[in-house]
Amino acid sequence: MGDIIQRVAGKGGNAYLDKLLQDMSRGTARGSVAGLSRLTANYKAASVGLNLRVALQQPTSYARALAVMDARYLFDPRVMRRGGWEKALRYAPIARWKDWGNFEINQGRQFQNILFNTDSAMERARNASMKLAGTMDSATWGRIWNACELEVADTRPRLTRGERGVL
Amino acid sequence: MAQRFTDVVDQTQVVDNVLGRSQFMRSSDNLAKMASSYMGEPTQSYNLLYRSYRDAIQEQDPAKRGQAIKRFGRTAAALTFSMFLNAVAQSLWDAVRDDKDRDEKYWERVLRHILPNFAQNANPLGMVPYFRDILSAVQGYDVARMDMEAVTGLITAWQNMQKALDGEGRYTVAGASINLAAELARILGIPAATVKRDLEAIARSIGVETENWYFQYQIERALNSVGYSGNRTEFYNIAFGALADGDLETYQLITADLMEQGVKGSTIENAMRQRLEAAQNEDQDFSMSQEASDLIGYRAQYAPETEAESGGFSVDDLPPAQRQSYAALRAQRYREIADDVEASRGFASLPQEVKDRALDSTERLAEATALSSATDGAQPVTTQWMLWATGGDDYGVDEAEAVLFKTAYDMAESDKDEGGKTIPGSKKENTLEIAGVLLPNLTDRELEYLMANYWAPEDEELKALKENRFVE
Repeated sequence: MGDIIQRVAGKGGNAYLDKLLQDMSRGTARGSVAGLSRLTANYKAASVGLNLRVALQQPTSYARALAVMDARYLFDPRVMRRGGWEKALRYAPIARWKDWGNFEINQGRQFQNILFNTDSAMERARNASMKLAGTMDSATWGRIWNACELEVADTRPRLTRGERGVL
Repeated sequence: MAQRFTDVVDQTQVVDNVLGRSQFMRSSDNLAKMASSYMGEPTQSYNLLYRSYRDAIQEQDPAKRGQAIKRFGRTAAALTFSMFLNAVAQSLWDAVRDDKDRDEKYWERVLRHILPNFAQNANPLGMVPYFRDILSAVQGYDVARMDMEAVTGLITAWQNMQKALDGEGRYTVAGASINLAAELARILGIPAATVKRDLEAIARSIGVETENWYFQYQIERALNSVGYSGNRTEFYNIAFGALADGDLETYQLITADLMEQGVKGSTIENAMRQRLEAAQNEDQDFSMSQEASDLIGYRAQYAPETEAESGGFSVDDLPPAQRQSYAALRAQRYREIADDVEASRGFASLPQEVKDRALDSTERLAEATALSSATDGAQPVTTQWMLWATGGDDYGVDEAEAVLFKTAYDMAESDKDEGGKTIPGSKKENTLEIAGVLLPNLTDRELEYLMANYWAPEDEELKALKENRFVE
């Protein structure tokens, strides 16, 4: 197995996979977030939270989807319909993950807090400050969901709306 | 459906999970964490581009390869477009935060920011950890340690607070308190500093867009100390904005407040003149109302800057209200006299240097009489020619005529004989000759009065007048 990995991924392949599996099993954000790391994490949270410049940039990631999706779906006026994000939350785990409040600032919430709502007051305040960027993201992802719906309806006409796995 | 959505999101959107981050970003090392901060988007973009590139070069089937190359081109175009949109979005807010030029409108500032932001977004070096820090250093920014940044920010805010309480430093007590609270919050991960900065930026932008200079002044004044010389530029810029817009009432309000805080009136006027000159150098069409330029004692063409009175009393010793009244009177007097001087028949033909001298005399006369009026005579006019210039009503002589006659007198030189000796009476003769050009319509009575200032009058009445006027 190790040989195969090394052949495909090169010398560091095994180390990469080991680290990836370790990180997946125990996470990267918590445990190590103390002392100076906590200061770094807090600094980043304070820089991103309620930052209108950051919030304004969130929807521009929509254009990156052009790399993997046709412009006629992404720029169809019907993508502006409401409800896309709610459907994404319901059917796509990745959307739920995003909704739980994970941002790319090493500040991810612990599952314990997500499941039992046990965030401290300070954590609640920090999470609240991230809502603005989160809302912009949700709006963007909702549009992507709608664009995907248009694409699937167009490219797989034999599927029926409401069918399992289709919507 | 969900599968397609997940596929699109996985490939093109940033999600903060283990699989969404590179090995380097997942490092528990604190320095690596700092270096890889905000690298989600660049990493995503790199992966997207790299995968499509890999597909294009590894594909062996010619037909599929053509499609893979197309996909690579499409990915590159999508990323470029996304970076451009991102630059526009950044610029929308950068323009709000940008307070460099208060005359520039919001959309002008937005347009100015788009290209540099796009260049920064598209620079591949900016997407590589450590390299982007080097790039920042090259661009003149500090590469700060995020963990220590918050701590040093808090310490600095505390020191500024102490200075403010002592009446020193760049911030007012209110400004220093807000900064301290914001830095404390930053340590805890609460974005109070960002909110504070953006609220300030929004308020400032509202002031700029509505051209409400007093509102802009009040914002700066609430947060920044006038006593700190490093802040003065901003206050002067705002005052100049009001002046250039012809909003003299606001200009007076601002300068009165600055003087209340200990800034000298002459320093403010000098700063305004410098800004006017700079604006004119930058844009030759830049103009300011005559009233405004008179108020700051600016002489566009002629008179050299007058020196502040040396020794003894200075106009800057006046209380702010009186100082302003003085400036307004000086501007008014100067304009009245200068307009008449410049309108005189021979003035235009005078050499530049003589014009300068004439208008300089005008300025000094305006200063002296304005000071006397502003102080209700407590600082009376004492210079002989000025006393004579202001007292000629009964003889039909006004100040402008007195200034022009003085100019003629100053211009005229005595003639010399062959032995180099001064020919008696020649200065007088030459003066009258020049005065004849400058003031061709003088009556004998007017001329006699003007001459009496420089030579002993024959007329008994004038003789008595002269003795009485200068004996006091």
